[in-house]
Amino acid sequence: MKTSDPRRVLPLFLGIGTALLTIGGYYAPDSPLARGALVLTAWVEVIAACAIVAGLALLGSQHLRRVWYARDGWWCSAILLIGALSVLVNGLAPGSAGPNDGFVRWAVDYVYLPIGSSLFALLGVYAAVAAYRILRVRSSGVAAMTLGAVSVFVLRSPLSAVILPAISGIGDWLLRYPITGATRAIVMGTALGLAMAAIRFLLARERRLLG
Amino acid sequence: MIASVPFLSALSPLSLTSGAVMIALVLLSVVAWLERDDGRACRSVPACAALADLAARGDGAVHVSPGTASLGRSDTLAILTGLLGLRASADPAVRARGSARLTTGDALTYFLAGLVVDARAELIALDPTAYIAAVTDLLRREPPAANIMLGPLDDTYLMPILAARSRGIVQIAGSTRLPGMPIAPLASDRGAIGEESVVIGFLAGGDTSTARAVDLARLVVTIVTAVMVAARFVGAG
Repeated sequence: MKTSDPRRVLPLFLGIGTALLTIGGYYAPDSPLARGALVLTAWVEVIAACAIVAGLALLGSQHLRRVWYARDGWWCSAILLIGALSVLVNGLAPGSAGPNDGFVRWAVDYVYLPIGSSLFALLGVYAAVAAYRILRVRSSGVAAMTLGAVSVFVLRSPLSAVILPAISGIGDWLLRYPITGATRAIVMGTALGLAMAAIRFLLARERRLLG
Repeated sequence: MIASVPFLSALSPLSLTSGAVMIALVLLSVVAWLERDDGRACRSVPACAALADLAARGDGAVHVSPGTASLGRSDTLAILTGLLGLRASADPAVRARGSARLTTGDALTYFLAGLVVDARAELIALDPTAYIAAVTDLLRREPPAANIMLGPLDDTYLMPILAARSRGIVQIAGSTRLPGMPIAPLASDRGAIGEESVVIGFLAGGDTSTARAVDLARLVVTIVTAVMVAARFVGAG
């Protein structure tokens, strides 16, 4: 595809124009630019909503095919389809209270939320397994990481405040100064990296995103 | 003086400060781009070297994922830069007649990823929790040769990363979100921390100038911070 190809140039101009309008609106809050930026932001919401509907249809067709051809784990897809359909039908039926419909609320409160909580509860086990695995790898980096984690864990625990009240303050100091400082440095570094990426995209230096 | 200029008077002090920062960043990036892309960055990014090794091998199936964050929100840039890194890792596998599989949990990201990354894109779920559970199961049932996850990942990504590790799958991970940052070096073979997760996408595509621009920007911010701290100490004294 040539650089002058409209299929490549048009998205570039649209992207750059949209970005400049949105940035301009941010720097001049009471100008027509800001109103234009607001309209574009609303468009993003509309596009996202359309994408969710399209995504739902795509997911539905994928799982329907899996059930139809009785592929591995087809019964999971069947449960998913039955669940999705029952929530959709009850939520969209005439006279239904939508998200506050009795069945929809029941499905969210007694099925979806407990499943989500169970998954998050597993995270503790996974973290313990990860810690065990990392302890088996002997290197200076791992030693420093382990030492830091264990010392903060011990110094911040209520037991250390009872046994050795003098050292419990060290944990607070570590959290307040060196750890907060290091965290802020990492966050700022990430933000700078993203800012550079934004400038690169704005100046159309990065064309790999066009496929 | 500013108040007398019609256009500038519409600007708030906050936007003036951020505007100055923005101009400084633009200048820095222009300076960096004036330099030639000589293939060298200011420093090496271990995750990028691992990605290059993986690309050189170019065999077997590769699973790539930008996570479940949605485009059009605060994570947009992180997703876009993540996709660049994923593209660089999926391309060699496809060229070597291997296969690349991209999974995501966001509809907008799915449609864009299908255009950017030469991989079989799959929309696994429309919910982050369901996506994590599905990908963890997927990596166990159909283990690929490599698993690459780059983007705004949370701490819950420990589950799929650890599941892949237990199967002996080579992994490279990097997160731009704070809760997910320790997960990448903790559980994967090569983890990218902080801006490394952003830079890896550019370095993998052979663009060292952006990495240099990021390093220059960090240097400027560090010097300014040091000067401000010194000035405050001197003032206090």
